[in-house]
Amino acid sequence: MAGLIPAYDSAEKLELLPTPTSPGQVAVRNVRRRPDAILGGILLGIVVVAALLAPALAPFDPFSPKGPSLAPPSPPHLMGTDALGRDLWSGVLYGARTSLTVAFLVGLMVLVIGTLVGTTAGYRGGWVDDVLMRFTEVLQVLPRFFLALVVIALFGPGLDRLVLALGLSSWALLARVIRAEVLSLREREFVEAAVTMGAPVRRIIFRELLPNILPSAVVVLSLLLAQVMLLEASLGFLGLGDPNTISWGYLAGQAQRFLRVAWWLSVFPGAAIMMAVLGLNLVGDALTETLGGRT
Amino acid sequence: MSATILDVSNLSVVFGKGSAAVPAVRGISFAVARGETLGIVGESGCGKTATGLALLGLLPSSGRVTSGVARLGNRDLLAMSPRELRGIRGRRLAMVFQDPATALNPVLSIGRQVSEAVAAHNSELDRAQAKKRALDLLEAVGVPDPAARYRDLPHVWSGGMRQRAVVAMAIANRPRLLIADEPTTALDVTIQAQVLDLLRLVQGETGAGLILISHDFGVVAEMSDRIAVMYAGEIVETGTAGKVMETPRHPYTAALLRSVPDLDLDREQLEVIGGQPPNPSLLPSGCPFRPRCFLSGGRAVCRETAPRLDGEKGSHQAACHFAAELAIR
Repeated sequence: MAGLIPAYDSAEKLELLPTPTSPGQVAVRNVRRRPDAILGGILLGIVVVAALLAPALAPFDPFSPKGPSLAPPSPPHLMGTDALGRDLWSGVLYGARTSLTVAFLVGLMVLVIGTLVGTTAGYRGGWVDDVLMRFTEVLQVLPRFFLALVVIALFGPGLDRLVLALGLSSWALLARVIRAEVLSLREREFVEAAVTMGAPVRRIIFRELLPNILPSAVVVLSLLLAQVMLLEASLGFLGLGDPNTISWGYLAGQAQRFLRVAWWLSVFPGAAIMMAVLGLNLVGDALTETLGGRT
Repeated sequence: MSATILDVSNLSVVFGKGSAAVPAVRGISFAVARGETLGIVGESGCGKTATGLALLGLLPSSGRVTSGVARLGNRDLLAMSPRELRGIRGRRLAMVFQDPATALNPVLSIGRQVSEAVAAHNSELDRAQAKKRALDLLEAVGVPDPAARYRDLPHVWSGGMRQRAVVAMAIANRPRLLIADEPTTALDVTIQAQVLDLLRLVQGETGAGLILISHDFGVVAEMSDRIAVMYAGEIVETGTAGKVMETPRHPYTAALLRSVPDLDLDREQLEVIGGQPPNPSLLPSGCPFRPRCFLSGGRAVCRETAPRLDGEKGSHQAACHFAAELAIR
């Protein structure tokens, strides 16, 4: 069939814009215009780098005593040492790993479950939607911190259970947002157009719906991850974290007893938690505005 | 008349349920032959779009088909399961949407969307083959240098080019019947003409039947072999384009034709049809067009009996008690 129908005159080529700007480029440009977003990105970047390079950056093993007890910040112990003479700088670096690992795994679980529930409810509608949404509402009223406490009380402390407990209880908001997006996208003409072309349901969901939902999902997720990090730190602070891994919450919790004699023990882990959570929130806010998501 | 592709009889569509039910389409019948263009005209709310959506099985959940048969080949479209419909959509019948800005997914490249339309019914093709077909299609619908534009997102293209892509997707699997619902309404007038040309060319290439739904009598007149005029959910006049245009036999058609702007006529004001189409749930007694009719003149028969389509089937039919009077005027 090609070639049988003549192409239209080249004048119409002019209608095509010469330098296309992709939505990605636009988003990048918009984020650049916002200093708070840049700050958030830098803070988050530092945490990520610290987590990735912890073994290379940390001068000591965070668990073994390597110096004088309760030494104030000074070389070689940049952030000082704790009561057992363990290097705090190394501890904070390794703590970033724990924090990010928990956030990443919980995020992954939330993404999978939330997307599954949200698209199923929105696309199928009817009683499936009713059942899934009522269940989601039950989850939404469940206090997550309390749930995590109960799980740890029952099964003992450990990162695996913590991730499971948080992941299984945190997807409600994402599922609701995705469901709402699916409901509105489903009525859009390009989805109908795909249907008129005989596209299978799988294709409609993965090609037509999900790519359009991504911006809102990213926004919800970024803010959710900040909450997860805080929860993890709070549990660690209460001594309910995994005793075999260093975490910021654990470090801050241990510091309590020495609050008056060793300020550095509280300040540095606290600052690290603040950096990570603030960074995520700032980035999340900027994403909300540029990607137009709602939370 | 050559082979009939689509044969619709007694199609009725109702929106809503129970006492709030609103009849949108009331027992219409029509047929489309291979390579033929049937234009469906009428004001907004006459049931044109509901007709098209019913054929595709795409009525919103509040609407349903209450009667009728729509034979495409030897199968009834209206009786198909969703699964059967999916196999037929795109392959046997396809739709060209009104607004290319909303009919394309904003976050997928145009090339990808066309190649997926190809792949939807050709699972044996691998990705490269589907892409090749998509490029051929884009070239066929007159997109200059499709290879360079393949990865563009829809918002980069102009409206006319996007509509070409939409047409390319619709014809990707050489459907036997194309339904075009107001395919040019969202476009500039100059682009309109190009898209209409394109539809004609595509039809010539594929031999598909075309149902062109429009409120624009000019567009329909230019394109159609036959015309069906809809009013209040019914076909009030149908016939070959020449006969309907030159000797309309229903006062509604006559009034519509008179209200088309004409540069050759020196008129102070555009003629209009007074009033609005009736509320489909509160149809007037007798002829639904009676309250706006210039011909009726309050005659009792118009008030008492609803006229039925009368005349030579296939050639020219109208639903008016006084069609003969109109012919004389």
